[in-house]
Amino acid sequence: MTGDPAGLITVVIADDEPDVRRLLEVQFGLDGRFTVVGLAADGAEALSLVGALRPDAVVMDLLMPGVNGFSAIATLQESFPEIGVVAYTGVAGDYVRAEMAARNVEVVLKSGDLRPLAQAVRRAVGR
Amino acid sequence: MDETDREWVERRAINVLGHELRTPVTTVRGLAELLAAGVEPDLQAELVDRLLRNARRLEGLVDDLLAAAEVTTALPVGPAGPVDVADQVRALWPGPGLDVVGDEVLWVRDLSVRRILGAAFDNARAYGSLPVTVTVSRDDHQVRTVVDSPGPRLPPEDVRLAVEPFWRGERAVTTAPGLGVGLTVARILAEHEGGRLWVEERPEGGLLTLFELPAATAGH
Repeated sequence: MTGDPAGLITVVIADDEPDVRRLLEVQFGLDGRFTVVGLAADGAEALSLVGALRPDAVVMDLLMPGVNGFSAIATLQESFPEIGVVAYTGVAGDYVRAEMAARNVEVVLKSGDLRPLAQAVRRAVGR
Repeated sequence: MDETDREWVERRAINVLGHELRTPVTTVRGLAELLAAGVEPDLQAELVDRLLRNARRLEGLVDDLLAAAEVTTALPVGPAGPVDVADQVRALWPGPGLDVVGDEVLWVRDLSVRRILGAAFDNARAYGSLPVTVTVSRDDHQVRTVVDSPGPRLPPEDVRLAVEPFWRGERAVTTAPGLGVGLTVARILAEHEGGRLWVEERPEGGLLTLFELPAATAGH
Protein backbone atom coordinates (compact mmCIF):
# COMPACT_ATOMS: atom_id res chain seq x y z
CA MET A 1 0.00 0.00 0.00
CA THR A 2 1.33 3.37 -1.00
CA GLY A 3 -0.57 5.25 1.71
CA ASP A 4 -2.07 8.70 1.52
CA PRO A 5 0.37 11.57 2.09
CA ALA A 6 -2.09 13.32 4.39
CA GLY A 7 -2.60 10.16 6.43
CA LEU A 8 -6.14 9.66 5.21
CA ILE A 9 -7.57 6.16 4.88
CA THR A 10 -7.71 5.35 1.17
CA VAL A 11 -10.87 3.58 0.07
CA VAL A 12 -12.14 1.86 -3.07
CA ILE A 13 -15.93 1.61 -3.32
CA ALA A 14 -17.59 -1.17 -5.32
CA ASP A 15 -21.33 -0.91 -5.88
CA ASP A 16 -23.41 -1.39 -9.03
CA GLU A 17 -25.64 1.57 -8.12
CA PRO A 18 -24.06 4.81 -9.40
CA ASP A 19 -25.95 6.97 -6.89
CA VAL A 20 -24.71 4.87 -3.97
CA ARG A 21 -21.12 5.14 -5.24
CA ARG A 22 -21.41 8.88 -5.57
CA LEU A 23 -23.12 9.30 -2.19
CA LEU A 24 -20.35 7.36 -0.43
CA GLU A 25 -17.67 9.24 -2.34
CA VAL A 26 -19.06 12.59 -1.18
CA GLN A 27 -19.78 11.39 2.38
CA PHE A 28 -16.32 9.88 2.86
CA GLY A 29 -14.73 12.97 1.34
CA LEU A 30 -16.56 15.35 3.68
CA ASP A 31 -15.84 13.18 6.72
CA GLY A 32 -12.20 14.27 6.67
CA ARG A 33 -10.59 10.96 7.66
CA PHE A 34 -10.94 9.14 4.34
CA THR A 35 -10.20 9.67 0.69
CA VAL A 36 -12.00 7.67 -1.99
CA VAL A 37 -9.40 6.71 -4.59
CA GLY A 38 -11.51 4.49 -6.84
CA LEU A 39 -15.09 3.63 -7.76
CA ALA A 40 -16.07 0.27 -9.26
CA ALA A 41 -19.39 -0.93 -10.67
CA ASP A 42 -18.74 -4.65 -10.14
CA GLY A 43 -16.37 -7.10 -8.55
CA ALA A 44 -14.06 -7.44 -11.55
CA GLU A 45 -13.58 -3.69 -11.78
CA ALA A 46 -12.98 -3.53 -8.02
CA LEU A 47 -10.22 -6.16 -8.23
CA SER A 48 -8.59 -4.33 -11.09
CA LEU A 49 -8.68 -1.00 -9.23
CA VAL A 50 -7.37 -2.57 -6.05
CA GLY A 51 -4.45 -4.09 -7.95
CA ALA A 52 -3.57 -0.70 -9.43
CA LEU A 53 -4.28 1.58 -6.46
CA ARG A 54 -3.58 -0.63 -3.41
CA PRO A 55 -6.05 1.19 -1.12
CA ASP A 56 -6.21 0.70 2.64
CA ALA A 57 -9.79 -0.57 2.42
CA VAL A 58 -12.51 -1.75 0.05
CA VAL A 59 -16.21 -1.21 0.63
CA MET A 60 -17.87 -4.02 -1.31
CA ASP A 61 -21.50 -4.40 -2.28
CA LEU A 62 -22.43 -8.09 -2.47
CA LEU A 63 -25.12 -8.33 -5.16
CA MET A 64 -23.49 -7.05 -8.34
CA PRO A 65 -23.59 -8.23 -11.94
CA GLY A 66 -20.73 -10.28 -13.34
CA VAL A 67 -18.21 -10.91 -10.58
CA ASN A 68 -20.32 -10.40 -7.45
CA GLY A 69 -19.10 -9.25 -4.05
CA PHE A 70 -18.79 -12.77 -2.64
CA SER A 71 -16.34 -13.86 -5.35
CA ALA A 72 -14.50 -10.54 -5.32
CA ILE A 73 -13.97 -10.67 -1.56
CA ALA A 74 -12.59 -14.22 -1.79
CA THR A 75 -10.11 -13.16 -4.48
CA LEU A 76 -9.25 -9.98 -2.63
CA GLN A 77 -8.42 -11.80 0.59
CA GLU A 78 -6.27 -14.28 -1.29
CA SER A 79 -4.36 -11.76 -3.40
CA PHE A 80 -4.30 -8.73 -1.09
CA PRO A 81 -4.65 -9.99 2.51
CA GLU A 82 -3.33 -6.69 3.87
CA ILE A 83 -6.29 -4.70 2.53
CA GLY A 84 -9.30 -4.23 4.83
CA VAL A 85 -12.70 -5.27 3.47
CA VAL A 86 -16.20 -4.30 4.56
CA ALA A 87 -19.30 -5.89 3.02
CA TYR A 88 -21.93 -3.21 2.35
CA THR A 89 -25.30 -4.67 1.49
CA GLY A 90 -29.01 -3.94 1.30
CA VAL A 91 -30.03 -7.19 2.94
CA ALA A 92 -28.06 -9.62 5.07
CA GLY A 93 -29.76 -12.94 5.67
CA ASP A 94 -28.29 -15.95 7.42
CA TYR A 95 -26.27 -16.97 4.37
CA VAL A 96 -24.61 -13.57 4.01
CA ARG A 97 -23.85 -13.29 7.72
CA ALA A 98 -22.40 -16.81 7.95
CA GLU A 99 -20.38 -16.40 4.77
CA MET A 100 -18.88 -13.08 5.85
CA ALA A 101 -18.27 -14.23 9.44
CA ALA A 102 -16.31 -17.20 8.06
CA ARG A 103 -14.18 -14.71 6.13
CA ASN A 104 -13.86 -12.36 9.09
CA VAL A 105 -15.49 -9.58 7.08
CA GLU A 106 -17.78 -7.13 8.83
CA VAL A 107 -21.22 -6.65 7.27
CA VAL A 108 -22.78 -3.18 7.27
CA LEU A 109 -26.36 -2.67 6.11
CA LYS A 110 -26.82 0.16 3.63
CA SER A 111 -28.00 3.35 5.29
CA GLY A 112 -27.91 7.07 4.58
CA ASP A 113 -25.86 7.42 7.78
CA LEU A 114 -22.14 7.04 7.03
CA ARG A 115 -21.09 6.49 10.64
CA PRO A 116 -21.58 2.69 10.94
CA LEU A 117 -19.73 2.19 7.65
CA ALA A 118 -16.95 4.62 8.59
CA GLN A 119 -16.45 2.83 11.91
CA ALA A 120 -16.36 -0.56 10.19
CA VAL A 121 -13.78 0.67 7.66
CA ARG A 122 -11.59 1.99 10.48
CA ARG A 123 -11.84 -1.33 12.30
CA ALA A 124 -11.01 -3.20 9.09
CA VAL A 125 -7.78 -1.21 8.66
CA GLY A 126 -6.98 -1.05 12.38
CA ARG A 127 -7.11 2.76 12.57
CA MET B 1 -48.05 -21.97 -7.95
CA ASP B 2 -47.79 -24.76 -5.38
CA GLU B 3 -47.00 -24.41 -1.68
CA THR B 4 -43.24 -24.87 -2.10
CA ASP B 5 -43.18 -22.19 -4.79
CA ARG B 6 -45.22 -19.90 -2.57
CA GLU B 7 -42.83 -20.30 0.35
CA TRP B 8 -39.89 -19.69 -1.94
CA VAL B 9 -41.50 -16.59 -3.44
CA GLU B 10 -42.36 -15.21 -0.01
CA ARG B 11 -38.81 -15.71 1.23
CA ARG B 12 -37.52 -14.20 -1.97
CA ALA B 13 -39.87 -11.25 -1.61
CA ILE B 14 -38.21 -10.19 1.62
CA ASN B 15 -34.77 -10.23 0.00
CA VAL B 16 -35.91 -8.48 -3.16
CA LEU B 17 -37.87 -5.85 -1.27
CA GLY B 18 -35.00 -5.26 1.12
CA HIS B 19 -32.50 -4.86 -1.67
CA GLU B 20 -34.56 -2.79 -4.08
CA LEU B 21 -36.06 -0.49 -1.48
CA ARG B 22 -32.98 -0.02 0.62
CA THR B 23 -30.89 1.43 -2.18
CA PRO B 24 -33.14 4.44 -2.95
CA VAL B 25 -33.99 4.91 0.73
CA THR B 26 -30.29 4.94 1.61
CA THR B 27 -29.57 7.40 -1.16
CA VAL B 28 -32.47 9.72 -0.36
CA ARG B 29 -31.56 9.94 3.31
CA GLY B 30 -27.84 10.33 2.69
CA LEU B 31 -28.29 13.00 0.03
CA ALA B 32 -30.89 14.90 2.06
CA GLU B 33 -28.53 15.00 5.05
CA LEU B 34 -25.66 16.26 2.90
CA LEU B 35 -27.90 18.99 1.44
CA ALA B 36 -29.21 19.94 4.88
CA ALA B 37 -25.63 20.30 6.14
CA GLY B 38 -24.83 22.57 3.18
CA VAL B 39 -22.56 21.92 0.20
CA GLU B 40 -21.02 23.92 -2.62
CA PRO B 41 -23.58 25.20 -5.18
CA ASP B 42 -22.31 22.97 -8.03
CA LEU B 43 -22.43 19.89 -5.85
CA GLN B 44 -25.83 20.95 -4.53
CA ALA B 45 -27.38 20.90 -8.01
CA GLU B 46 -25.96 17.44 -8.70
CA LEU B 47 -27.11 16.02 -5.37
CA VAL B 48 -30.63 17.47 -5.76
CA ASP B 49 -30.84 15.80 -9.17
CA ARG B 50 -29.81 12.45 -7.70
CA LEU B 51 -32.16 12.90 -4.75
CA LEU B 52 -35.14 13.52 -7.04
CA ARG B 53 -34.27 10.54 -9.24
CA ASN B 54 -34.23 8.24 -6.22
CA ALA B 55 -37.45 9.73 -4.82
CA ARG B 56 -39.11 8.99 -8.18
CA ARG B 57 -37.70 5.48 -8.11
CA LEU B 58 -39.26 4.94 -4.69
CA GLU B 59 -42.55 6.24 -6.01
CA GLY B 60 -42.40 3.74 -8.88
CA LEU B 61 -41.65 0.89 -6.48
CA VAL B 62 -44.64 1.80 -4.33
CA ASP B 63 -46.87 1.91 -7.44
CA ASP B 64 -45.62 -1.52 -8.47
CA LEU B 65 -46.14 -2.96 -5.02
CA LEU B 66 -49.66 -1.60 -4.68
CA ALA B 67 -50.64 -2.78 -8.12
CA ALA B 68 -49.07 -6.19 -7.48
CA ALA B 69 -51.06 -6.48 -4.28
CA GLU B 70 -54.14 -5.84 -6.37
CA VAL B 71 -54.91 -2.70 -4.43
CA THR B 72 -57.59 -1.28 -6.63
CA THR B 73 -56.81 2.31 -5.75
CA ALA B 74 -53.50 1.98 -7.58
CA LEU B 75 -55.11 0.73 -10.78
CA PRO B 76 -55.91 3.20 -13.56
CA VAL B 77 -59.36 4.71 -13.31
CA GLY B 78 -61.48 6.69 -15.73
CA PRO B 79 -63.22 5.73 -18.91
CA ALA B 80 -61.77 3.44 -21.56
CA GLY B 81 -61.13 4.85 -25.01
CA PRO B 82 -59.49 4.03 -28.33
CA VAL B 83 -55.81 3.14 -28.04
CA ASP B 84 -53.68 2.32 -31.08
CA VAL B 85 -51.32 -0.51 -30.12
CA ALA B 86 -48.57 0.23 -32.65
CA ASP B 87 -48.51 3.93 -31.68
CA GLN B 88 -48.04 2.98 -28.02
CA VAL B 89 -45.28 0.51 -28.91
CA ARG B 90 -43.38 3.09 -30.95
CA ALA B 91 -43.76 5.72 -28.22
CA LEU B 92 -42.34 3.36 -25.61
CA TRP B 93 -39.54 1.96 -27.79
CA PRO B 94 -38.69 4.75 -30.26
CA GLY B 95 -35.22 3.53 -31.29
CA PRO B 96 -34.03 0.56 -33.33
CA GLY B 97 -34.22 -3.02 -32.06
CA LEU B 98 -37.97 -3.47 -32.26
CA ASP B 99 -40.28 -4.45 -35.13
CA VAL B 100 -44.06 -4.04 -35.09
CA VAL B 101 -46.18 -6.33 -37.26
CA GLY B 102 -49.87 -5.46 -37.65
CA ASP B 103 -51.91 -2.80 -35.91
CA GLU B 104 -55.25 -2.68 -34.14
CA VAL B 105 -57.19 -0.27 -31.98
CA LEU B 106 -58.08 -1.28 -28.43
CA TRP B 107 -60.86 0.04 -26.23
CA VAL B 108 -59.08 0.37 -22.87
CA ARG B 109 -57.42 2.91 -20.58
CA ASP B 110 -54.20 3.99 -22.31
CA LEU B 111 -52.21 4.00 -19.05
CA SER B 112 -52.88 0.28 -18.63
CA VAL B 113 -51.54 -0.50 -22.10
CA ARG B 114 -48.42 1.60 -21.53
CA ARG B 115 -47.69 -0.21 -18.28
CA ILE B 116 -48.32 -3.64 -19.78
CA LEU B 117 -46.05 -2.95 -22.73
CA GLY B 118 -43.51 -1.27 -20.43
CA ALA B 119 -43.31 -4.40 -18.26
CA ALA B 120 -42.92 -6.67 -21.29
CA PHE B 121 -40.17 -4.42 -22.70
CA ASP B 122 -38.36 -4.17 -19.34
CA ASN B 123 -38.38 -7.94 -19.25
CA ALA B 124 -37.10 -8.18 -22.80
CA ARG B 125 -34.23 -5.83 -21.93
CA ALA B 126 -33.39 -7.73 -18.73
CA TYR B 127 -33.44 -11.20 -20.27
CA GLY B 128 -33.20 -10.93 -23.97
CA SER B 129 -31.44 -9.82 -27.08
CA LEU B 130 -32.62 -7.75 -30.03
CA PRO B 131 -34.66 -7.39 -32.10
CA VAL B 132 -37.89 -7.67 -30.18
CA THR B 133 -40.91 -8.29 -32.40
CA VAL B 134 -44.41 -7.14 -31.46
CA THR B 135 -47.20 -8.82 -33.43
CA VAL B 136 -50.74 -7.46 -33.20
CA SER B 137 -53.74 -9.39 -34.50
CA ARG B 138 -57.48 -9.30 -34.01
CA ASP B 139 -59.84 -12.14 -33.32
CA ASP B 140 -63.45 -10.96 -33.15
CA HIS B 141 -63.74 -8.71 -30.06
CA GLN B 142 -60.23 -9.29 -28.74
CA VAL B 143 -56.87 -8.01 -29.90
CA ARG B 144 -53.93 -10.29 -29.24
CA THR B 145 -50.49 -8.72 -28.83
CA VAL B 146 -47.41 -10.94 -28.73
CA VAL B 147 -44.07 -9.52 -27.54
CA ASP B 148 -41.46 -11.89 -28.94
CA SER B 149 -38.17 -11.48 -27.09
CA PRO B 150 -35.31 -13.73 -28.23
CA GLY B 151 -32.76 -14.74 -25.63
CA PRO B 152 -31.23 -17.66 -23.83
CA ARG B 153 -33.33 -20.72 -23.07
CA LEU B 154 -35.02 -20.10 -19.72
CA PRO B 155 -35.36 -22.55 -16.85
CA PRO B 156 -38.95 -23.91 -16.79
CA GLU B 157 -39.63 -22.25 -13.42
CA ASP B 158 -38.71 -18.83 -14.83
CA VAL B 159 -41.45 -19.27 -17.43
CA ARG B 160 -43.94 -20.88 -15.05
CA LEU B 161 -43.57 -18.23 -12.33
CA ALA B 162 -42.84 -15.16 -14.46
CA VAL B 163 -46.22 -13.56 -13.77
CA GLU B 164 -46.12 -14.32 -10.03
CA PRO B 165 -45.09 -11.50 -7.68
CA PHE B 166 -41.45 -11.19 -6.65
CA TRP B 167 -40.26 -13.82 -9.07
CA ARG B 168 -37.00 -12.70 -10.60
CA GLY B 169 -35.30 -14.79 -13.24
CA GLU B 170 -31.74 -15.81 -12.51
CA ARG B 171 -30.35 -13.34 -15.03
CA ALA B 172 -32.55 -10.46 -13.88
CA VAL B 173 -31.44 -10.79 -10.26
CA THR B 174 -27.98 -9.52 -11.03
CA THR B 175 -28.49 -7.56 -14.25
CA ALA B 176 -31.57 -5.41 -13.77
CA PRO B 177 -33.09 -3.46 -10.90
CA GLY B 178 -36.69 -4.15 -9.96
CA LEU B 179 -38.97 -5.93 -7.57
CA GLY B 180 -39.87 -8.78 -9.87
CA VAL B 181 -43.48 -7.65 -10.05
CA GLY B 182 -43.54 -6.10 -13.53
CA LEU B 183 -45.32 -8.96 -15.26
CA THR B 184 -47.54 -9.50 -12.23
CA VAL B 185 -48.67 -5.89 -12.51
CA ALA B 186 -49.12 -6.35 -16.25
CA ARG B 187 -51.30 -9.43 -15.69
CA ILE B 188 -53.44 -7.59 -13.14
CA LEU B 189 -53.80 -4.60 -15.48
CA ALA B 190 -54.79 -6.85 -18.38
CA GLU B 191 -57.46 -8.45 -16.20
CA HIS B 192 -58.53 -4.98 -14.99
CA GLU B 193 -59.15 -4.05 -18.62
CA GLY B 194 -61.21 -7.17 -19.27
CA GLY B 195 -58.43 -9.17 -20.86
CA ARG B 196 -55.67 -11.57 -19.87
CA LEU B 197 -51.87 -11.90 -20.00
CA TRP B 198 -49.58 -14.89 -19.88
CA VAL B 199 -46.09 -15.92 -20.93
CA GLU B 200 -44.79 -18.84 -22.95
CA GLU B 201 -41.36 -20.24 -23.60
CA ARG B 202 -40.03 -19.12 -26.95
CA PRO B 203 -39.11 -22.32 -28.84
CA GLU B 204 -35.78 -20.91 -30.07
CA GLY B 205 -34.91 -19.44 -26.64
CA GLY B 206 -36.27 -16.36 -24.91
CA LEU B 207 -39.76 -15.42 -23.84
CA LEU B 208 -43.12 -14.71 -25.45
CA THR B 209 -45.36 -12.32 -23.52
CA LEU B 210 -48.93 -12.50 -24.79
CA PHE B 211 -51.94 -10.40 -23.89
CA GLU B 212 -55.48 -10.08 -25.15
CA LEU B 213 -57.47 -6.91 -24.62
CA PRO B 214 -60.88 -5.69 -25.82
CA ALA B 215 -60.90 -4.33 -29.36
CA ALA B 216 -62.52 -1.04 -30.29
CA THR B 217 -65.70 -1.87 -32.18
CA ALA B 218 -68.05 0.09 -34.39
CA GLY B 219 -70.39 0.42 -31.41
CA HIS B 220 -67.89 2.46 -29.36
